[in-house]
Amino acid sequence: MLDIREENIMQVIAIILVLMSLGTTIVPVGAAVYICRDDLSTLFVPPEVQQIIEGDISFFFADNSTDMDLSSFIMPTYVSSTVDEQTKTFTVTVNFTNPLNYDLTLNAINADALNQEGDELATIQLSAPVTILSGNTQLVTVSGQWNQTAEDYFNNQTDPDFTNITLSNIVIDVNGIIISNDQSITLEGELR
Amino acid sequence: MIKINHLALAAATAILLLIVASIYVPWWTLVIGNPQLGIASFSPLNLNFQLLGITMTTPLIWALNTSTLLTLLLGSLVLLFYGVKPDKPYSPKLLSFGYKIPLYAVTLFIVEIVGLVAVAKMALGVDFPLMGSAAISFPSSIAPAGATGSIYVAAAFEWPFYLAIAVVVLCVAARFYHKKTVPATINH
Repeated sequence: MLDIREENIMQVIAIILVLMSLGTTIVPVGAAVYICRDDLSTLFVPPEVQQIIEGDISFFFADNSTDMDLSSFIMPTYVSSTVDEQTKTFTVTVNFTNPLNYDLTLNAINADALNQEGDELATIQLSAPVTILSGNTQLVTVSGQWNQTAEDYFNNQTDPDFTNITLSNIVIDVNGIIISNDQSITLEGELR
Repeated sequence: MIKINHLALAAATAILLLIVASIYVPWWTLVIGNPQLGIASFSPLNLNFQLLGITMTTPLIWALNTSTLLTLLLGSLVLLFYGVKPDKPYSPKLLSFGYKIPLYAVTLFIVEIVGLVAVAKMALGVDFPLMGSAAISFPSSIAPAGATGSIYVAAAFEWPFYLAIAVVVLCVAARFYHKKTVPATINH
């Protein structure tokens, strides 16, 4: 049997444990509520998410620009190209700009070049992954190899150009975000 | 002979180790992108989400994490105190309080993670893996016109999660060891 003194000790311990359990929750939550007392919505929503909800994503961009233009990344600018007829290979160098405040890695660019009849003329791929540092512009070279069908196609044309060529099966992989375009893109402008 | 519940002492020490480890290493991570664009790091003591290098934390989550940290710390101290005095009349109360805390933390964590993955699947149609990697397709509403998109994600339970399970096992073992250490008359 427990004596009265021991029972009292047990009751005190039980009360202390309950109070401490409550305290470990109430104190931090109370502190957070006190810190956010001016605007309680900030208790639940991080300031960055609040900014995104308000349409401000400038903190994602390298120069905190309000002009959030991703098109420079999506639409690279043509720089130069080379052709090696002996090995039936070519390279196209384009400029990619990374407007984000975060380094991006172009893991892959793949596409097939087709003629109007849908015959495959060449395959295009990125030779190696390229990292484009935050806020920087980087030259990216894609290489390709054409086949006999391509040679026959251009030899049979009196004034061959590339405007009738379409790019199909386009796959772009940026940091594991893989965009596959199901629709073919017709090349505009000559690349002779 | 001085009675000591060694398993309770081991469990108390393991809880302290778990607290320190969990501050620095999450229990579960979800990496988005390859190389990573974002990472979600979850543990009952530290939960944050990073997207494009920007860390997003809500004060309420911080408060709940701190609460869990303090509760685990309290549980550890109570078990430590119980471990060296297991035969006192109030000791079963201390044990009963202390050994359950890691169990609650681990159970809640598993429910949260499984719930989160289930909610993401039901609400967004996005099937995040609990473990391993996958390519998750964008909902058609946000994919560019005429294109399909997917994103690489990889999820993994980190070593502190397994340490937490070991801590729970130690705590439950300490509960059963109590019956051996202390005569049945003061077992409650």
